[in-house]
Amino acid sequence: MKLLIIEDHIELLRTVVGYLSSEGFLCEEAATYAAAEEKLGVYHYDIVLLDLTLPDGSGLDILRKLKEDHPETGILILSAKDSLDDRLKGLDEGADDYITKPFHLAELNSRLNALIRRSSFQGRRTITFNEIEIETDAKEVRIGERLLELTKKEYDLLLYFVVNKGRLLTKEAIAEHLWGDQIDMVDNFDFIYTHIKNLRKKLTLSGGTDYVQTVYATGYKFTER
Amino acid sequence: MKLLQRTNRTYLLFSVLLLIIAGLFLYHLLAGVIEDEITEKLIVDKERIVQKLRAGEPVPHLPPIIEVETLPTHDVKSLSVSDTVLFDPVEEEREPFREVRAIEVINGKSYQITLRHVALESHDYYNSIGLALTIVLLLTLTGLWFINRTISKSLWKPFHNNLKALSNFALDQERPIALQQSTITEFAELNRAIEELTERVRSDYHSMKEFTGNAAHEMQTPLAVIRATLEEALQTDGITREQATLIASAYGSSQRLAKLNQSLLFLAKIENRQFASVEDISLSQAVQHVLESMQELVLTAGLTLETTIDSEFITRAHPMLVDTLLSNLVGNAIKHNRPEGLIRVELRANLLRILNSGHPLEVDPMTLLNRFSKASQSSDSLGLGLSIAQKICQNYNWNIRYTTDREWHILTVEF
Repeated sequence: MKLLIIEDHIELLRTVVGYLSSEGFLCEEAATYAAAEEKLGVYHYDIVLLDLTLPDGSGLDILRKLKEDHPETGILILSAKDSLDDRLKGLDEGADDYITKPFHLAELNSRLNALIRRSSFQGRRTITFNEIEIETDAKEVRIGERLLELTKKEYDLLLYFVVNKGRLLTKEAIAEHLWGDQIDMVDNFDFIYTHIKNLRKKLTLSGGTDYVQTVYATGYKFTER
Repeated sequence: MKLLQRTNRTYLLFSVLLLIIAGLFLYHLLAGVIEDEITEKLIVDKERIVQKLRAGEPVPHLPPIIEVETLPTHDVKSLSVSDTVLFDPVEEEREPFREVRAIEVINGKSYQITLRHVALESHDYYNSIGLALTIVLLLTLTGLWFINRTISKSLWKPFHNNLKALSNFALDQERPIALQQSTITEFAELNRAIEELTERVRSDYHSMKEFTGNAAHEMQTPLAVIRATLEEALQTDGITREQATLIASAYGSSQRLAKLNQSLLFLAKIENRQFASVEDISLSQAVQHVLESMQELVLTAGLTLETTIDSEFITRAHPMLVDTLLSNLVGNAIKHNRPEGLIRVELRANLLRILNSGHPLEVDPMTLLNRFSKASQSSDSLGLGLSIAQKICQNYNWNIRYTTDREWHILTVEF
């Protein structure tokens, strides 16, 4: 899976590239409009991560051009501009998804994976982690032959865990993934614990292994022991 | 009072005053001239009678116009002119007369010659002059009214059009204000001043909006770096529990900073009126939608929700602002509740009341609507949720009140 990351802030660019490389993506970087144009003219990418505000040009122009030349390329916009108008404009122009800075790296990974699943050329609609099998179209989870009865939140949580397997997921990142902006309304993250407890119970009751590991004071990790 | 009416009134007062002065002047002038003429005529007539007497011809006797008497004594020659009032048998009333009385010595005899002429009565003067001047005044008025009507239609037209353009001027309009040009110096100057002012305001507004966007970009990117770096640091193998706790604490703070930044930018956007578009919003639907999406949080927090929705009220607002307002109010009721507490949402007509159980307040509840104001300083809350709610209400002239009744906290919004 080959990615191009277009972002003018070098530090953020390096962090994202470092992280996504460790997740197994082949990453190339472009810090300016000119560099991005050059790379896109020569190479073909599966997914482009695009910052809309670049010092020497508009990300929207890149977006338009990309949609014309390589309509099959997935586009994920990363931008600090979180106004509804910009978001709609980006999606109207053919972007596949939109993530607002500052984002959690795990969230970015999650969105990328969802994007890959949606693109037809991949055809990878089933995600497997040992005995756990997730059908993303039907939103069904099986352990062996047994179908798990999960609530929507539990399903989202499990998918998030599996996609970001082996990584420490902070409580903040999990909460934001599951509840979005509404998470501002509550002071503590106790209720994440409830959902995780239920998910663990359902996994073990269906004969699966409890892969969820609590990490002291910070969050959770979905991993083989 | 219109400018035209005011100037007209002044002109009118001035014309009336001027005409009165002119009338008085005319009266005195005319009266003087006529009096002199009458006196002159009487003296000439007297000379004619004297000539007739000298020639020994008979003279007419026509009292009270001509009276000639022979005096028994020898008097000295004299001439006196006076005004008198006598009964005129012809007109059968008392009339004012101009009188010339002369004593002449002719052929050794003394004669008293009295000649009189009816004087013009003063009210006759007044009437004629008054009539003439009233006609002049009426003509002036008609003329003024006509001229003003024409002026106000043509000359003031650009002014009225521009006034309309100015009251329709919106800060966020894309084009400069379009004013109708005028050849009148004052209007042209006014237009120039208005155009300069609106252009300056528009460009200020534009740069402020740009600043908002730039601030968002400039702050959120470093925040993204901080957050991503800390997340990566947490992934590092072999970090100790203490290190993990420290990083987690910095991570949590970066999260709060990101929220704070987001909230402040949102407040700035409302203030900059960047949510200018409005649409019809059914309050009952909006409330139901928000309650549905927040139901899980209510349940997770172990609270009970009671709702009474009885309203078909439609308001005009930006849907995102209504959604934010309602979420913030319900969120506030969740956050500041007591364990196993209660939330009651009541919507009747245009009145929304959100009640929640909680702890009695030690501060004036209305101050909690201010930025960064919270009931207890130890709270994790940013203290911005309610001030965003208040800002949204101010934006649409809705009335928001925060009251308490023992352990009940009541937020009321009148749409």
